[in-house]
Amino acid sequence: MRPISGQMLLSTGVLLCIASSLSTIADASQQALHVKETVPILKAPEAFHEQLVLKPLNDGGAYSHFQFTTHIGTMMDEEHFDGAASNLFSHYNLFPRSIGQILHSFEVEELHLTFTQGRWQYSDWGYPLAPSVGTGVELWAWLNNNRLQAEGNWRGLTNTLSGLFCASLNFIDDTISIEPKLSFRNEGLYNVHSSKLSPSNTTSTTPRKLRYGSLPHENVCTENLTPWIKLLPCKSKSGIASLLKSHKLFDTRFYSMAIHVRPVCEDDKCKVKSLELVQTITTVFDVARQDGSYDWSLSSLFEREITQACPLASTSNIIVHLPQTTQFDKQYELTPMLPEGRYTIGSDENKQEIAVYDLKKAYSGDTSSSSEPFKLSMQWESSRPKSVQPISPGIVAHRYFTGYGQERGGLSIEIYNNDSQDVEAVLLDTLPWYLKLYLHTFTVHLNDQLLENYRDIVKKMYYQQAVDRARPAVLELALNLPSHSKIKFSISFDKVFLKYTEHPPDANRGFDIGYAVITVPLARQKGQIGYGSVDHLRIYQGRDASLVQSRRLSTQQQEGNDDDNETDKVRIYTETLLLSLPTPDFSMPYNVITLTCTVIALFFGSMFNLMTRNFEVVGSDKTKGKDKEKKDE
Amino acid sequence: MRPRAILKHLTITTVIGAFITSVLAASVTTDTSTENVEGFFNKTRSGHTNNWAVLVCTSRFWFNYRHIANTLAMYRTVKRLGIPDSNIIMMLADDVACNSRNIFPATVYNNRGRYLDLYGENVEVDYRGYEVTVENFIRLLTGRVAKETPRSKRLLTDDQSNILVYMTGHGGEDFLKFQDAEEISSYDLGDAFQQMYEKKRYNEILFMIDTCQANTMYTKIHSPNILATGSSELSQSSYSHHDDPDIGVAVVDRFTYYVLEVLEKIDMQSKATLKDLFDTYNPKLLYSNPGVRSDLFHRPLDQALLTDFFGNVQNIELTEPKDHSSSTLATEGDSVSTQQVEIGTEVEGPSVLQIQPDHTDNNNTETLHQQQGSKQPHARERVEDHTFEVGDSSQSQNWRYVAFVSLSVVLGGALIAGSSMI
Repeated sequence: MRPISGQMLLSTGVLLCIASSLSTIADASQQALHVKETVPILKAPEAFHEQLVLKPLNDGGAYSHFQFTTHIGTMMDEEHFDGAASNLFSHYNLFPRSIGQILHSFEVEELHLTFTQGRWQYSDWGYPLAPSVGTGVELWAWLNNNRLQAEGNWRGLTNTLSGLFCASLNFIDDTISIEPKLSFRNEGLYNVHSSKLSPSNTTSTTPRKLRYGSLPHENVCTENLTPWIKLLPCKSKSGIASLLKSHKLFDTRFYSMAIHVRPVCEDDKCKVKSLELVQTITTVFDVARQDGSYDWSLSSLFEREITQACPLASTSNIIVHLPQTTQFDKQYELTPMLPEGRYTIGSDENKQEIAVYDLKKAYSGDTSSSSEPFKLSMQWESSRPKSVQPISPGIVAHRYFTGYGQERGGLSIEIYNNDSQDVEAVLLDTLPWYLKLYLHTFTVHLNDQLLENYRDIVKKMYYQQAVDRARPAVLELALNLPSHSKIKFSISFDKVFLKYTEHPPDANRGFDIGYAVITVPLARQKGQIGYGSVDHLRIYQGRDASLVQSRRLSTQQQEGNDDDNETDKVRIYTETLLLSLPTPDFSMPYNVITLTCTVIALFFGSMFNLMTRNFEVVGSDKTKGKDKEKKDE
Repeated sequence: MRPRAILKHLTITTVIGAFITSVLAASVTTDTSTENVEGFFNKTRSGHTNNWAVLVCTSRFWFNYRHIANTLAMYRTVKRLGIPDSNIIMMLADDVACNSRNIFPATVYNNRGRYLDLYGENVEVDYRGYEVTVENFIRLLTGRVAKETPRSKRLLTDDQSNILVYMTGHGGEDFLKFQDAEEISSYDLGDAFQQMYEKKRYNEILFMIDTCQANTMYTKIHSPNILATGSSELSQSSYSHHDDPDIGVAVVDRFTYYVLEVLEKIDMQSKATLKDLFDTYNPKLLYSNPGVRSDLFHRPLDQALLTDFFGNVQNIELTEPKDHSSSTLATEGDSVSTQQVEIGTEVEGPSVLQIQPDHTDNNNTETLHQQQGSKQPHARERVEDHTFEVGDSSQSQNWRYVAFVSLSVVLGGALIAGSSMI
């Protein structure tokens, strides 16, 4: 059955291709006419929102999260919404042209690119607001695979992004690109809604392909930030982005910078769709490093000040998460304190107080006040909190190498579930081909007890065997983590002896092995802050709160039919690891050449000598006689 | 006098007369094109229309901070003098700015006083880390890059580009190390430049290298219009200038330091020449004997401006209105920087432009094309030796084209005839 159905699929695909290519021109004109006459184009204006979330951390750090959201264009509901292929990008106002062109030419439907330096400390800082915090560079994209060009487009995409962001993204080639089966589901809303809301349209589901790649060793520095800032409508000239000073941003314990592009719904029924570009910068400043004081202000953190809101922004907010002190409420003072800008979100133990500052409002008045810098500071009574509520993230994971020597080793992943409930999770681990995994050595420990049968824990397992110099090994597990448990996965591997030329210039440093990613749904109550998702921004914006809720509902309904869970999941990134492979003596070739040459020279020299020289027995009498003869002459 | 002697005299005079007449004829023919050829007789202006810079630091590791600082200082200088980021290809083999050893994060200084942060808020590094390899460097120069390569990683020059190639790192006699793992030899470099010449990828090149025994690196260059300068002679080391106690390592090399001292004083309108720069070389300050190789360079050094290479000051190219869209802009639009000015008049004629279609695809390099290209320069060299106008070469190419077409027609006819007979 299998091959036949495959062939059928293939043939239909080919047919479709031919048909589509034939009818493209006609279709385009027809569509345009059709659109103009029947469905009114709900051309929502492009919109730009900027937001800064500040959160004091228990260990004296200050967590800042910049989020800039740009929306572009809309299309009618019935048609397949294809941000990449549509005529969305005929004109650019706020949306950056460079990104638009990339999406268009490589038929990208959803794009997520994150640059991170440092490691997110889950047990100290809780979960981040940013969705991706894995050290290095992470790139994943959903590509339109209509014309079976996804592979080429992925190559083009990585190269183009590498040029745009001055990073070595072109190193994400086939040997490290993977296609996860359970993780990294698309966050956009293409046909999820159109198929739900208009059942007639279900057949038009376009084939799309997920490609994922990460570079754990990639540095992040100013040259990456420069092009990132250039994507903003106001650059760093005004608004919240004027705080972005590279010298301070890179002087932090953690720095992460991302762009996320995805199509989203603008209303409850998803009649209006738009393409959303979210740019985030997440940093953790070490406030207490200088003098042990936990006090901070905008100017002390960023060494810059906001003197006006970005004129192009629809909303421009600064949000401060107020610390949850256990004993006294008045341990700290936040200035300025606006009583009307203080909200409580969430409920019960997940309650969070926030202070919201609307820069648009602050700078909407007369021009004289607009030159005043916006001052915001937090002061503690005794320069640091007396007591803080400890952070207890539900799921924490660690990964490490075991074993010793340069021949073989082992890999262990530990996942702690501190929740009182069982949690469904997905573990994705990618290992480069130079680690030869042995699947039969895969073991599972539950609370330090070896499990003979781990079917209760590992529900599904996808394993892709590595191919030398062609593709990495992928291990993807659908897990059921019991409450209050510690689960340990172990697997053994052999280290490959690489070719002489395959080593990097600093081979003795070792090879960086990327993180494992654990995707878990977070129990979330209504109105609570969405960690690990750029959606949290919508919570703060009254107009969108209901939308997020409705989207969540619809996707939950979707989940009923399909296991393909999509949104509202937090991704937990483990540590990146350093692997030392056996390195050859790099001066060996020269030694070999020298030695060989010496041997050959000795051999050849002596042979040559032997063959060309004429050996004669020289008698002492004879020579004397000759000498005498010569003298006589 | 004997008749034999008379005959001899006669033959001599006729020979001489013939020679004189031929010379006269030649001078007459050259006279007609004097206006166009002026540049050759009195070539003081560069004649370039766009500027590019390739700045390469080949050293990895923190203790080589100074090499990255050297390169970034040159980057700041050429940027200040007007070369846009799109025309600067910068290769940095390591990231010292955001290195955890750097106590001034996201900065690079080349002076103990730390007056100027070379990294700044706006910097574009095109090749970095493991991408800085000999292969990538030669591919960049010769244009033989993969088809996915983004624009920022391509050297999109043409035959009217002046290129500054600055390299720094650790080297030795006839080689320069890349990242402590591989070397580029002076032969590789000479061949790469020759390939660039054959593909008409430059008008003039200033090759500047700051490394130990640097002068040996330019000895194998053999392509015209390349001016080279290095920091030290054979068996001499190049030294660093001073260190910064807070950063903990040396921050700049001597040669680059003193070159920058000159460059800092000039601006885009400066009339300072390369000779002025070379005259400031002081072996006592450098602790080594810097070298200049100008035998391939066809302009007098005291008339070649520094801004011809370090700046973006360009000549205005005058073209006929008709050719305007068809030749230069259409074919070279991609590689010409935005600053290039094209004004349509009838002064210079289309001769300059007619050559250009020949190298429209100089970026799509195939071996075939390379072989093709290797034939053209001979023609061009011959032309230059006889100081003919550039238009002649285009005419000769027209002639070639006609010959080629007619030959192919004849061959095709023969083929058809042959096939019909069969």
